[in-house]
Amino acid sequence: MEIILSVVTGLLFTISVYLLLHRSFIKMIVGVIVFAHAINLFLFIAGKITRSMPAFITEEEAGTAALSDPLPQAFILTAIVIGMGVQIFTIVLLNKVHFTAETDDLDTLKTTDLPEA
Amino acid sequence: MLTAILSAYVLAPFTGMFYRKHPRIWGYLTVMLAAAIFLYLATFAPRVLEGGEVRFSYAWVPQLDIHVTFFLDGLSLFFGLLVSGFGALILWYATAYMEEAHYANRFFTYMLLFMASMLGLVLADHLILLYLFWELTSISSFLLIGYANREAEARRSALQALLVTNVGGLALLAAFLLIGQQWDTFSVEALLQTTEAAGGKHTLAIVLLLLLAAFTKSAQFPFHFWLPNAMAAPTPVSAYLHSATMVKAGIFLLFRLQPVFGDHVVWTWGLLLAGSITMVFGAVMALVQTDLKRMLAYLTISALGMMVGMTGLGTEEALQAALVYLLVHAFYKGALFMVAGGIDHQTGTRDMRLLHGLKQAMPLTMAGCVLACGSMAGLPPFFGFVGKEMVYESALHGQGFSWLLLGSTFLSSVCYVSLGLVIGYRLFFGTLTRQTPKPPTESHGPLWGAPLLLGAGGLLLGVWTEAPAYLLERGTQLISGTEAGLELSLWHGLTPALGLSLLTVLAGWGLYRGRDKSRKWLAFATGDYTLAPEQLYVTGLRRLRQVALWQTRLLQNGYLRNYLLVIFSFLVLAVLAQIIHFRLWPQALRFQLPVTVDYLYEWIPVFFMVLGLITIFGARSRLTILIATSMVGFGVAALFVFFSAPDVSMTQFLVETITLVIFMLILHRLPSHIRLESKTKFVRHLLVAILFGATMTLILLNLHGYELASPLKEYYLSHSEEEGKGLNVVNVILIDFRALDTLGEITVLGVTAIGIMTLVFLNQKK
Repeated sequence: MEIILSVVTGLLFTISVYLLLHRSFIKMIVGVIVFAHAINLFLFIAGKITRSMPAFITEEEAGTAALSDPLPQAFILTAIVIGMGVQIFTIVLLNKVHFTAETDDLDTLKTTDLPEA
Repeated sequence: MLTAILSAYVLAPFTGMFYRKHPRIWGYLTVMLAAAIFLYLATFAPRVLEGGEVRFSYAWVPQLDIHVTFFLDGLSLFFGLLVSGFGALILWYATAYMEEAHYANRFFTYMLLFMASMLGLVLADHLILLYLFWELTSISSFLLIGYANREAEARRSALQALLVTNVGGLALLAAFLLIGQQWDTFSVEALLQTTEAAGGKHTLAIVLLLLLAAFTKSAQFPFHFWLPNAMAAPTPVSAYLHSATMVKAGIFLLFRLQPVFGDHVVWTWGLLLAGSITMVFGAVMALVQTDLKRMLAYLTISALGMMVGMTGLGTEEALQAALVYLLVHAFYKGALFMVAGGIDHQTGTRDMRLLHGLKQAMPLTMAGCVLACGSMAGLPPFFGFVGKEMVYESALHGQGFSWLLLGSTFLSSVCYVSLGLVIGYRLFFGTLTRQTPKPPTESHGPLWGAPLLLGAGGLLLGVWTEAPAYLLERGTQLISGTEAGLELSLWHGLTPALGLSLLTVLAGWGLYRGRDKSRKWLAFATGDYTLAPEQLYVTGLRRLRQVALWQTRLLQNGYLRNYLLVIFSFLVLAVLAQIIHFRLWPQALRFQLPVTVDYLYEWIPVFFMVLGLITIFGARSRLTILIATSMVGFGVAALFVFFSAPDVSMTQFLVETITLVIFMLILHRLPSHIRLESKTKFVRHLLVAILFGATMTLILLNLHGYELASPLKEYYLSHSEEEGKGLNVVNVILIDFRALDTLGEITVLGVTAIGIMTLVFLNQKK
């Protein structure tokens, strides 16, 4: 399964990078979101995945070796939350840029000056 | 010793701050400091001139074995005395010269900075320390040349001097680093004592770099052009930095390292050729100048060439002559610059065509000037005669191509005599000029006192030759690496050198008489040539600017997407290069989870994700894109569930929902029209994107070739219950083991929230 997921992660990266390079605001925002997914999944797969063995300590003490690694999960959890902050900030910021600079083309955002009224 | 050097650095800013309130007090304080350093150094003279050495070592970074070490031997003591003694004299002169100047406080600050740096340069034992002081002298020179910072000419000249000498500075650093590699030491003292022949593999490079450094600093052809332009500085600066001390730093470097590299063929030939060319070139250029200071600058270039050439000759006699001439030159050129300054100060012009017959108006200035010119022309009984005789003697005795040196010293000496007459005679005798901006009057105090002192000194040393012989003997021994004594005298008997001197004076007289004719012959020297070194410098600088502009437009063009493109491309290239270089192709994959039909449900999120991605890629409606994005997000969340990460999954579901809602709320305010890309950009971006994705997949597959034995996993799983009192290990990590991280995360979210609030309530539109 890892091989499939690795390829899917690669696909996520491909699409997100393409979107990030897009001149359209919406596509770029989506690029940021998908990129976060790609990174999270990348970390997750790199940390070895297991089926149905969440890192819960049970009464039986059946040995911890078989459980999934909690550390990457903790990282990803943090990353997801931070990612959300970044995404929402990007959305609001670009909304404001669109409103202020009256453009929907990233290529016109070359200077710090506002367009002539 | 450290105190002596640092004291000038410490006094400098205070002078800058308080000079204006009490200009007299602070001016004289700087003079006294320089004089005190001179006296302090002089106390070492008996010990050092007998052949002793004094070291001062201060721990700087003792752990790394880096010490600030100064060392005094015959050579560094002589230069130290020169720097501090001239410093005192010229600062005294400057108290009068700068009296009415604006920003005189800055001037004194920079002068002190320079003096301290120059002292450090000649006294430093560690090569890197020497380099540091070397650059500091360049910087203070830059500040002093650009002193009149409202004049474009001064700014341009300052920059030129800085750039030219800094090229040499960088070469010096490279040379020192190579020396450090080859001899495994950065100590000048240790380097001089090395018995190892200079035959290492870096020697040629070191010699070339050192020559470049010395030639730029000491204004040798073809790097000479910054020195005449540096005359934009106030005259005390020209007298101090650009005749007596800083330009001699290059000579000092050559002297210092002569015992090590003196036998290298590139060293001797480089010095000989550059010295000869510079000597004649400078003297001839001086003949055609009309500005007194520029004339003196070209004469300085010529004299520096003479010292360089003598060093290149490399015989014991020649090296003695070089050091003696250095002292000779310092005396007469320092005096002449100060005379030029005095005349400029009193009459308002330095134009030689306007100035003549100043005898009645400025008798005391004249006295200093005539004495200095006598020394420059090499007439007995001046010290200049002693120096000139030594130069001739060594050139006559030299072997091989020393006739080249003999010829060029003769030619330039003839020019010196002629110019000595121009400056020392024509300037003061004849009818009094009426064309000067200010009617000439005698200057006061130091303005005539300092040059007169130096001029008289030149006469005194010529008569009392035991004094310079005592001072310089140890220095010449250190340069030549022998124990030969130094004997100076005015009368050598009837030698060929004496005949040559006589011939020089006669020829110089002839040249003076026929100066109007010779000017016509030499008219070509004042033309503008595209291949002249200065022109090349200007062109080179312009080209450099063009390249910089082109490169900035290419890389920093303001298109944000281009930056991203560069970053991604570079990342891909860097990773792929590593993978190819180390042949890190995925092998011995240790997959734990087979792809079987039993787990067909795992394919469902994968399917939806791929579908979503394809939709996003092609879609042109905002809503479609939004829904497809959510599909991908929820797919990822589902994968987390299947692969034992329920907490992560829960968070992902929540976050995905929130993002969806907010996106939805703002969607209608975002641009509806989705712009299309041009075909080339589309292909280029897609190519980079695919490469990037493929690289990441490759890394992931690679990672599966290794057993992941994380001790942390074991630690968290076994300690979670005892120390964290919790069974859900991921939660325990977040709120207990790594609680500070979580706190940081909360802070980030808080800051983001504030940022979003600001954006939302910001009303930029009027």
